[in-house]
Amino acid sequence: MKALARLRRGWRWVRSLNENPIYLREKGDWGNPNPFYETLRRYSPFVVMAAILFGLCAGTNPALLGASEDDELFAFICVLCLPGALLSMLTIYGSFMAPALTAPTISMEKDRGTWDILRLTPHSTASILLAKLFGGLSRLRIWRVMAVLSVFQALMLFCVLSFAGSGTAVSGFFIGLGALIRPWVEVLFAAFIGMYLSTWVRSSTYALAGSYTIVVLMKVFSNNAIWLGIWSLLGVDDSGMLTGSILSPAIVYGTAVLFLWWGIVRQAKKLSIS
Amino acid sequence: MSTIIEIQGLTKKYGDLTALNDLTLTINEGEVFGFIGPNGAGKTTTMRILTTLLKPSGGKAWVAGESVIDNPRAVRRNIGYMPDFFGVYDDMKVWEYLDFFAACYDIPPATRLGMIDDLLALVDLGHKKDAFVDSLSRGMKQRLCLARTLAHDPQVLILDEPASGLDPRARIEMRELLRELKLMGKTIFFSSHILSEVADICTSIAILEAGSLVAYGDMTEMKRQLRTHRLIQLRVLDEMTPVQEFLLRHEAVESIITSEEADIPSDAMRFDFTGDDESLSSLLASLIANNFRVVAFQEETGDLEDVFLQVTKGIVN
Repeated sequence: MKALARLRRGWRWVRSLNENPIYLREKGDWGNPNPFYETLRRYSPFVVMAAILFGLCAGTNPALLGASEDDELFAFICVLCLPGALLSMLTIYGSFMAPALTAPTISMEKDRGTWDILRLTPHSTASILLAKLFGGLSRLRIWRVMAVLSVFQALMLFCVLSFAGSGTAVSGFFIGLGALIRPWVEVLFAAFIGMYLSTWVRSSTYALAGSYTIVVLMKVFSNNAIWLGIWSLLGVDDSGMLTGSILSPAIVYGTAVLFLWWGIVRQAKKLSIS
Repeated sequence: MSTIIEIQGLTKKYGDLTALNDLTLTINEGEVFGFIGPNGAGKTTTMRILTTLLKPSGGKAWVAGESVIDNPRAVRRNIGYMPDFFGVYDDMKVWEYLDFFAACYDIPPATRLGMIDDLLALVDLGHKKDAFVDSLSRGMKQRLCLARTLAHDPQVLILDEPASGLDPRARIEMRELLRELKLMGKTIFFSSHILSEVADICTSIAILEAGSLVAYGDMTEMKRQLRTHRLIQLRVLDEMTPVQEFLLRHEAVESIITSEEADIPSDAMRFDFTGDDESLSSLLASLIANNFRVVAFQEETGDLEDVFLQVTKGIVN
């Protein structure tokens, strides 16, 4: 019953977000709360270019380049790979922009001396943190496209591997699931790590630099290739290796997101009364 | 008058350091309460506990009848707090800043518009309504911050060093503003190390040193209690020597300070008087009866600095 009441309260809070001044300020309705994001936006063409480049590298099947002579195969790979490449681009763009939106949120308030004033408003510390997180993330205009692409990609992979390919329906399901949640947890991880560090340090620059370092390290040490190697070393069969290499990074990111969420809520309690 | 702030045995420890030691005091509704003490005396710690921003290590405190420990949310509704490092959003316009905080206190948009104008008029910033906060002077920012504390019409204002870092003009403006707020019925609890300022507007004071309360009470009463003797300045149109001789014959006159010894007009003198008001009045009557042409006979009010120096020992935490 308690959990249900909490859930209801949470839902009411989410529904009232459009009237929440802290959320609206983070969205940019009251002043310009985040100079870091504005600076980054000025360089957004470079960010987009880098996202396209890395996205192409990460999300394109090399067979695409050699398959131009076989029209049917080329079309098939295009359908399969293009959403994946676009999704990788979006994920990279999101992972790069999200810390800039969340890392300065609390550290800047502390630095300006407004954090205490904000805490004295009737909003709870947890509500302030979440409003800032959602407000910041709402400035990223990638969510709808990401939803369409991730669902499309997941369905494609599930259908191809389960019905047309040599895999089983179970591995097809898990690979589809991995493809569906991976971009979301990756961008959320970048956003949450920014927010988490922001509650610890007073300098927005340090929070941002720390966030980028962790995001890059996670990207390097939890990618499909590394997981493919790990599963292969463990002696798993081909189907298991493929499933593991796609699902494992999603699980790692997902677990990290859950831990960070717990960390932020815990930190909120600590911050609410020192 | 009813009690609006009650503090009982409040203690705050940071490891081995006792920042606040068993503080007990009460503040009545409508009072202007000055909280004075050297840096590190525990003033800000007390204020942060009262505003629910800090948890005490021991003791209890209530603001407007609500416990700061058990019911911090209710306390927050009743207080307006201005920290020593006043926080403003430089990226907002003046009216946006007030609008934002009014919205945070759930004040409906229709009410906010009129309220912002009223608040800006009160702090004399109406002409800066559309200016960016960034472009305001320090004094203006301080006044804006004070206007923000009033957005939700709290009963109690807790102001940490409201005049610190302000130029003389801004300081005078701030003092006038506090007077106006007092007339509006607000209870003001503020800390300062500018003693003349506290003396000017406070009804009660508490002096804190090294986390402990060293003196506390009604302003005038405290000055009187802590003063062992009174200084009277006298001006006469006659020769000084006979007047001095006459005064020294009075049992309550301890000593005389002439214009050569102190910074007073050449036709004046100052004497130490240990008697009460009645004795002082009879002294004046006898001066006149003895044909001394008195043009000024005035008690010099000892200032708060005297009181402060008398009760504090210069201990710093």
